[in-house]
Amino acid sequence: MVGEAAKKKILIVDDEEYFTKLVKLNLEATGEYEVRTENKGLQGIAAAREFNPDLIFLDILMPDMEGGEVAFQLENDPGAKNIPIVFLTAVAKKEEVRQGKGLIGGHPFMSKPVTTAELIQCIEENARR
Amino acid sequence: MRIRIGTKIFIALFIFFIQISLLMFVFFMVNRQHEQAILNQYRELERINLVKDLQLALVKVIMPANDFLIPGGAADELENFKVIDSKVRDLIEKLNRVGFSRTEEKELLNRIEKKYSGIKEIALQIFVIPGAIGNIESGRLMEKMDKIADDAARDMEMFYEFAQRDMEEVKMKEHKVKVLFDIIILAEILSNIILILFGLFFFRRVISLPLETIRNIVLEIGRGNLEKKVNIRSNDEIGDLADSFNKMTDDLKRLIQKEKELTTIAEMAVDVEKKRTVELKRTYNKLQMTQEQLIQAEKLNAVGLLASGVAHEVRNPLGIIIQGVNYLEEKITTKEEDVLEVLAMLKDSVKRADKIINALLDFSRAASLNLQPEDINSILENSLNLVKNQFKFDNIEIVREIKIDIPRVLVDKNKIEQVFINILLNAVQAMSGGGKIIIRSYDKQLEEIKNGIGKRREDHFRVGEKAVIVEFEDTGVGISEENIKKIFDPFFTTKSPRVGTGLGLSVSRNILHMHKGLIYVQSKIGKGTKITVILKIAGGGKISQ
Repeated sequence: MVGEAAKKKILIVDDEEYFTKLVKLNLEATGEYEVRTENKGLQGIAAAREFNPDLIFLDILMPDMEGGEVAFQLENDPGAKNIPIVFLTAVAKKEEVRQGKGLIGGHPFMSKPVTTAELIQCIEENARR
Repeated sequence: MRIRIGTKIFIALFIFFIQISLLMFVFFMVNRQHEQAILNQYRELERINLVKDLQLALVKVIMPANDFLIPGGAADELENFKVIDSKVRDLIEKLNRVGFSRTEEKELLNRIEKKYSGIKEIALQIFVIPGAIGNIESGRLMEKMDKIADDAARDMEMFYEFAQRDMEEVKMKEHKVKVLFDIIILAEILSNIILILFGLFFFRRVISLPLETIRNIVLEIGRGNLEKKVNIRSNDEIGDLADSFNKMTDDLKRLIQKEKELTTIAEMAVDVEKKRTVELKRTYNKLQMTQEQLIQAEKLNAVGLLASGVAHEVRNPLGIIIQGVNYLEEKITTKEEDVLEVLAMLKDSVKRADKIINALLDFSRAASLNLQPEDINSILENSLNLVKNQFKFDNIEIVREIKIDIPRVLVDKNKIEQVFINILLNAVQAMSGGGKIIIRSYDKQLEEIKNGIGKRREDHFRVGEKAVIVEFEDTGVGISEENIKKIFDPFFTTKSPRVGTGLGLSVSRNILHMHKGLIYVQSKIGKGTKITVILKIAGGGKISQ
């Protein structure tokens, strides 16, 4: 149980089911992270409150609710406002990520496609605890 | 009251005629008086002569009787007496006929006649006395006759004096008339001169002067001075003419005013039309430009949207693939080379696909420029350093022909850097076996008229405009004529898919287009390629032709 508790909790909100599933597999394979996935923005908000993750990977372009809106709601939620958010986007370039110092609306972001190694690096840099 | 000029002339002539007539009349009258005076003078002279003769005759009349009484006297004394007597009677009759100037004269002559009758009576008595000589009676008669003759002589004397006095009076009168005559003639001459002068003045004042005034005004108006008015107040035809003339001038003025107004309106209309044409042209140009920009923006927008969409749609699967590959890499325990190579190939392909997406995003995002006056040489140097960091320049010689004191260009530094990097990369890639890149920068007045330099609206530069020019000349493989036409097309590349995306030059041209700059390519297979970039000078290049 101690080991379980030491694991970082990661929430991934992305409408791409394959992507969330694979990221979950890859991250959990390291044994360092407990990963929960959601494929809809609204459910992502609920999951964030309930799951209270150490970091949220948030897709920007989603059909039901955009990542920006999700982030805004979480920022205004007392229970979730301290959770770090990292945006995942397919429309920004890696150079732009560097130029804009990787921030969208005050949150860092990563440009898809991302490798597992890049994700882990990002978690280590931005996650709570 | 209106008086015709003819009437005026008639009145003037009439006055002249009256004056002449009056003078003629007076002249005539005076002349008659003068004639009368002269006649009077003659009459007086005649009377004086008659009086003298009578005086003489009266002295003589007693002589025959006297001689008759003298012894030895002539026998024919009676005959002598009769001659004298007839003379005396004739003279008296003549004097009576001549008339008298005063009653005293008539009375005097009557008295003399009576006295003469007495003398004659006595004389005749004497002649009939026989032997009268020495006769007492005849002596007494003789004495008596002498006495009467003396009386008569005294009367005659008086009569003569009267006649002489008359003569004097008549002479005086004649003189007076003569003076009057002179005065009248002088007056006539003077008054005629005055009248002629007055007539001249009248004609000058009534006809000549007004006509001259009108003539001058006509000339003045002819010279364009329409403010001139004929200031003649006259109640005749000349006044009418002046009024008509003024009216004509007014009408003319109104007409000219109207014409001016019309001209002004016409000019205004022309102006408005011109302005409208210019405005229309400008609007049309603007519209066309806007349209072009819109189309361009729309294109870019469309490309941007497309690029974003493609990026999103492609990158998500790419992300999945890469995650999948990552997963497999972890899960696969086999050391089989082929499996690992397949995974590596998958990863490589994902990278390539991602690269294309990046280039596509570049292509679509050139729209926003951050223009600043920049030193083109430092941009060139930056680009060169960036390229040098990524590629090996071992066999490549860089020759800089840089103009140090070059005008600043108004550009987005990052975008122009991107252009230069693209060009340099192409050059480097074209010289895999090594070579030389000459980088030139200079400014000059544009001369040649080719695409982009000229007078057409779409031309970015005017002939004579000063611009900054950057040239990249390599000694690479060169580009075929056929390919030169396509090198700016998106996704056109002669390079292997691993190396080029086919968007580099397309993006570069796009960026330059947005800077209102130009890019040209000259190339020969086997000799090399020269790329020329022309950029606007910050603050505008002065056109001096």
